[in-house]
Amino acid sequence: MPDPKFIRNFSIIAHIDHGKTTLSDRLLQKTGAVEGREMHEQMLDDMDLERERGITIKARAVNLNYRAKDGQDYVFNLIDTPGHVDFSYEVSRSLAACEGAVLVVDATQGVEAQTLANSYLAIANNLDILSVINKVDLPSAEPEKVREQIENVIGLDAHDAVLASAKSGIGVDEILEKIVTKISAPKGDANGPLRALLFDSWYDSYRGVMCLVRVVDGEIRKGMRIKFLSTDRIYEVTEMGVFTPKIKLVDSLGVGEVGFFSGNIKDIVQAKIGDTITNANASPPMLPGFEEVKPMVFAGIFPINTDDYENLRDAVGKLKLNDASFSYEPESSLALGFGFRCGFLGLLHMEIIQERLEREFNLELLTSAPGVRYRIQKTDGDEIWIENPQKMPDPAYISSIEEPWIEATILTTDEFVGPILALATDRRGVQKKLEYVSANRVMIVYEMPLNEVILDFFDKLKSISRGYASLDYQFVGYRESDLVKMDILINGDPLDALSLIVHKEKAYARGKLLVEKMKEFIPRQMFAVALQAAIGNRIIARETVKAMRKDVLAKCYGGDISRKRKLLEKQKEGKKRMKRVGKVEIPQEAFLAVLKID
Amino acid sequence: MPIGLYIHLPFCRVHCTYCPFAVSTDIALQDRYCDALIAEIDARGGGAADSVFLGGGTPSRTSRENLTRVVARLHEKFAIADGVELSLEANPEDVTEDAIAFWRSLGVNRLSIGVQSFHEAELRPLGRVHGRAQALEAVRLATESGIRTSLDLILGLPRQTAASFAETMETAIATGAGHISLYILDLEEGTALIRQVEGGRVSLPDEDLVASLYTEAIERFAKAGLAQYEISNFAKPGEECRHNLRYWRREEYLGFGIGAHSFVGDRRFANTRDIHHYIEGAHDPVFAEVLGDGEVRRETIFLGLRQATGVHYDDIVRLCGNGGIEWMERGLGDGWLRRVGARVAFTPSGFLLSNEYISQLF
Repeated sequence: MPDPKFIRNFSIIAHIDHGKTTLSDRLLQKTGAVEGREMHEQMLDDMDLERERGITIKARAVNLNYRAKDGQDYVFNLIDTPGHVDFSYEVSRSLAACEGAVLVVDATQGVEAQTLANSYLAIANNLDILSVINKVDLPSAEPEKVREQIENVIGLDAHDAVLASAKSGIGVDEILEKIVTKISAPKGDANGPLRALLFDSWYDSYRGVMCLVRVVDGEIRKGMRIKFLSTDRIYEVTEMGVFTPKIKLVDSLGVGEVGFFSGNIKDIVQAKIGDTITNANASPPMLPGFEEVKPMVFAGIFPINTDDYENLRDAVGKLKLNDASFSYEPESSLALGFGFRCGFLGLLHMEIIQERLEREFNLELLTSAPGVRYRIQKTDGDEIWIENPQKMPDPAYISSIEEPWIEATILTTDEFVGPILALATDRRGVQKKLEYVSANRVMIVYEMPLNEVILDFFDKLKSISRGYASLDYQFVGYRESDLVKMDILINGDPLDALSLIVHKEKAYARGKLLVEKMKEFIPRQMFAVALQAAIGNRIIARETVKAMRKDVLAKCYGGDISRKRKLLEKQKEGKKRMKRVGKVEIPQEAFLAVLKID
Repeated sequence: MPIGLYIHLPFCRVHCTYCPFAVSTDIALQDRYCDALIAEIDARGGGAADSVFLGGGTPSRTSRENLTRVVARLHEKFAIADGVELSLEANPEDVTEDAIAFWRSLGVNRLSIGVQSFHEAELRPLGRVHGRAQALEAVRLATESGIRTSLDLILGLPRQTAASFAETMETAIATGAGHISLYILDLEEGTALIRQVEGGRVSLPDEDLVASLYTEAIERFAKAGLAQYEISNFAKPGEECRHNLRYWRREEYLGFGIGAHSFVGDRRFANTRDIHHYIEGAHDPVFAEVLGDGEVRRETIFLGLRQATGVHYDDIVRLCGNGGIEWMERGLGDGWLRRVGARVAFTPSGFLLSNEYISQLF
């Protein structure tokens, strides 16, 4: 077991595309964990989706051996963190497992919103921060300006920031040395009862739930009976190891060490991120910072083909095994049949789950507009929570509705400030701060309803700032708002799954846009189709899709029956992508249009 | 069971702008083409036939010598009883007393005349060679000769109006022809017309207008004794085209010549559309498919529903199960379908939307 003196536990934190993954790969290569030839780009991101999106979804930890210039051998545990605001709790727990963080800032981009958010998380966890200014070899690099931003915006001393290029290898040796000298060794009570921080878990079909832990005090051994403090559930450790990044089995892990164990844990819900693991018979205080992760964004997911309901049920069940932060419960919709109301950490998480369901389980799905969870005080004094607009009580029984608010931090170059303020105001934002962090860089802080953010705020922000503005946000609490339920009616029948809760003042504009957008995507049918938006019994917007008048193959002679049959078969295929509501066939795009609308 | 024979004679004076068929304007090829046709008949012929259709192209443009030897070869290779339906497609400019007498001498007993419209303003831009007078004269000669006569008309032509269409329809009825085919214009891929329309150089009548003219025509023809028996076909009693019914009833046929289709057993196949390849002896199918249960099922439904007699209620239940019952009941309730005894068939407005409604059942 290594002396904690010679262990360094750290994460790399960065804004997306600032070079976190490239630097991780480079460290793996330099320490010999991966041979150059077996090195493939982005070693740490192991899901296809992660690689495609360039975002790390699940944290992993890699155990590296490094011989420092002083001749001493060190063990590095590089703990990878997810790079998206949806997963900020997971990031915070990964950082809690570290003593230090390598902060990577792109020399051509400067400090961005996630740089800031992640740095603050690192500071909050008392980490030693080693600043790295990356991509210094690019012609547009401005390392001195970036150094200044790190000092002024984040408030870190960056005089000794490493000037690096992870891509070409510049500065990597210096980073390795500084990890030894700048980041503290772990401290803990080797003789005390075991306390290990569970900072990641996932389901492995051979081993059951895998728990990734950082030992704080004591020791965890193979065969030992351990307890999860938040649930008091007891398991026996059947297998332990570290990732080098290949699995290397070990018999024990001591103070400061990072590794995984498995113990016939069937359900990932039992392995809550942030939980403390201890001896089966001990009850030491829990490590700080544990929270139950709660989904923030909700949407109904329905199979396009109603026969696929059973398959969808199996699929969400399997995904849940691997993702404790995803929740689901059965939902039935008159319009869309049987499906599930699913909860997600955020929009990206929702998109990932949807894509995995479609790709890994071969399902065609319809997803209703995403919403948040509302707190409703009823006139009879009851308090209820709803995440499905359909469950909203009649307004007569509601005394108040509260919705979740977030604090959004936006960093941008100053030429885009005007449009960004207009956008934030339009989204019911309340300005908290507007500050020049350097000559032309502005930090804007707004409080906004989460519901306004999940409706393509990020896309809008990117488009009005030509991609230069970055965004990060955190939940600040529930606040009362003037909200109403808006229904979408098709030929007079409410399309229940499309109901949404909107701010009263925005209902008209939104209802109008919604039906206009849907009209574009609903093909002419055999009869006229009325599209309406309504609040209660009041119609606030209406559009009509005119009836189709002719769709006929006039000529069917000369014996070419095959071609005609195939035309009809193709027409039928087209219908499969549509959802039949009453007599009306609605293409998925029409539902998506509702989802995408601003 | 006797089969049907389709002989494709592709030569035309002009390739009309709307026409998607395999045609050739190079009449100099006709001898070599007919050599190849005869070779194909020799190679594939045999058995009995009880309908023959000489289609095109413009078969009336083919020389008498060539027509004579092609028809003679059909008689040599197939057992064709006297009096079976033998149709020939003709353009008005080719129809003379003498020509009719000649065709009759070959055994032709049904003439299908490509009138399309009685208005020159509509005909000329399409590339049609004939005018109103020529069309009237051709139909008069045919009907007076006593040969079974059919007129082809097109609804939805550029420049066509409600009034001009009504006039064409009345004129057609007044000729006393026993059969009228009324085709709603389809814009087909690869035709000159689709390019003109897409390029904005030619515009088509409003879709709603075409739809109401179609339903009005069904009514008008019925009053004149021309009952609708298929989406686009109207006939006096006994005047239905026996050969075309074959296609919709899924009865067997052999097609000879370029682009010709055949249906034998569970197999559909087609010849090359390239006249030069064909003349060089390319008789292997360029398209062939073996129909599985699904294809047979779908063909039975859509071909049955093209006809005014529709499909037997029990057959739809057998082929489509409960979905079929729901589909029929919905169609009957909404007016797309009507009952004809134990059968279910499209109404006029149902015919207009038949692709859409049939594909809901497929």
